[in-house]
Amino acid sequence: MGSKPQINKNTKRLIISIGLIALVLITITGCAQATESELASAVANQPAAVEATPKPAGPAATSKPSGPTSDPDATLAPIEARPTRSPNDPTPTAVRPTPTPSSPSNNPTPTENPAPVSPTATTTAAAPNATSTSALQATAVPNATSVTAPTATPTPLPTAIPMPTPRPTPGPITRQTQFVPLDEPAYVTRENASTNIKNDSYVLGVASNGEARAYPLDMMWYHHIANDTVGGEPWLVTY
Amino acid sequence: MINGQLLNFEVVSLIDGVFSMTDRETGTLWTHFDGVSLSGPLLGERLKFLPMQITTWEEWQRLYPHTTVLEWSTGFQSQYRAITPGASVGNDADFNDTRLPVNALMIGVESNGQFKSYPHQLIVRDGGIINDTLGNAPIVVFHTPVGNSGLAYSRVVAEQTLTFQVEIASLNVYIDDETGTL
Repeated sequence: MGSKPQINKNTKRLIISIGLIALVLITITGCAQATESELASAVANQPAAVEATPKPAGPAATSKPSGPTSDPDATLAPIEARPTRSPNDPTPTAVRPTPTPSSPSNNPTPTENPAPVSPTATTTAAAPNATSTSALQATAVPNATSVTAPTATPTPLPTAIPMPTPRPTPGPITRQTQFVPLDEPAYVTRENASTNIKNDSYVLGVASNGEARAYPLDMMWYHHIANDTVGGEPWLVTY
Repeated sequence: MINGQLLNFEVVSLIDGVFSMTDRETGTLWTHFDGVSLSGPLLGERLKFLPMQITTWEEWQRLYPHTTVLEWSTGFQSQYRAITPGASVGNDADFNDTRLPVNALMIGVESNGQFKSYPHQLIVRDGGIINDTLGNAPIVVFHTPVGNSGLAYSRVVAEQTLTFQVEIASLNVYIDDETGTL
């Protein structure tokens, strides 16, 4: 008879301790979820804030050097852009809650993983009818998010990091060949043309607003690209 | 120039035997050949074609006596070499297409979203001139042995559609049937 209350006592202790553990677990997960959703909404707010800030022309070029740690992500995002991605899906809140921070393998679509960071960028970019201003915003967003991402709580980021598939060109798209383009190349009148240019040499001929210019193939085979102005018009001459 | 933004380009690499390039301003990836955006912020945009011509330096000077020409001394002179269009450079793309020789020269025409290529040898076979319709637009495509060159034009002049013939081939003189204009 004396042992029965003892068992009951032990059972009670057991139940209480289990209850305490459960409570602790719930609290922990609750906190985790809270920070996660906070982050999701925070990140969701970022692009809007960025878009509201007027950016000067050519933001990509000028802001590239900033945030070197997150540059790969930022520059990968625009390359990743695909027309198939519909502009309405990647609302961060829809993507975030499902994967737990510790199990990236549970996510069926790993490419969606860097959700709050890049899809906002890619969708803006993918909109084919983007006006000039939204095109500028598109270039601004990846850089902006690359700056804000590291300041956010570092814990959820690991879910985003395992995603990048090995790609041949990490980092910004850069020249991968020996060929150096010509920028606003020097030119001369035909009387002063180099004797290296023979009569039967081939040229790329451009005539624009009353101005004419010849781009010898012997030169252009190497440069492949000339960024030039002919007749007041910006010309991209390629071979 | 896309949406009022001036872009400057860099060579990137070969993709399936075709050169690709990127613009420094947005990092979008483009094709050299037809100005199509492959990926990046400006995906969906396309560079506008501007008319240009491949011909000999002699013929170009005859057409445009006031022409300027690139200064040879760019610092890269050691890389320059005699280039003949259509000659193989040894790393040709292979598309398992035997209809024409690899690197056969052609005149590519786009009209209202329709594309057509006019191989030089076929234009020559047809007398150096083809009156055609492409994208519902009447066009005429010329090839001339002078400078081994060719061009395409709209056949609509002053709201009248013309049909052209070669009049004097060696002088690149043509005549239209409707008005007899040389």
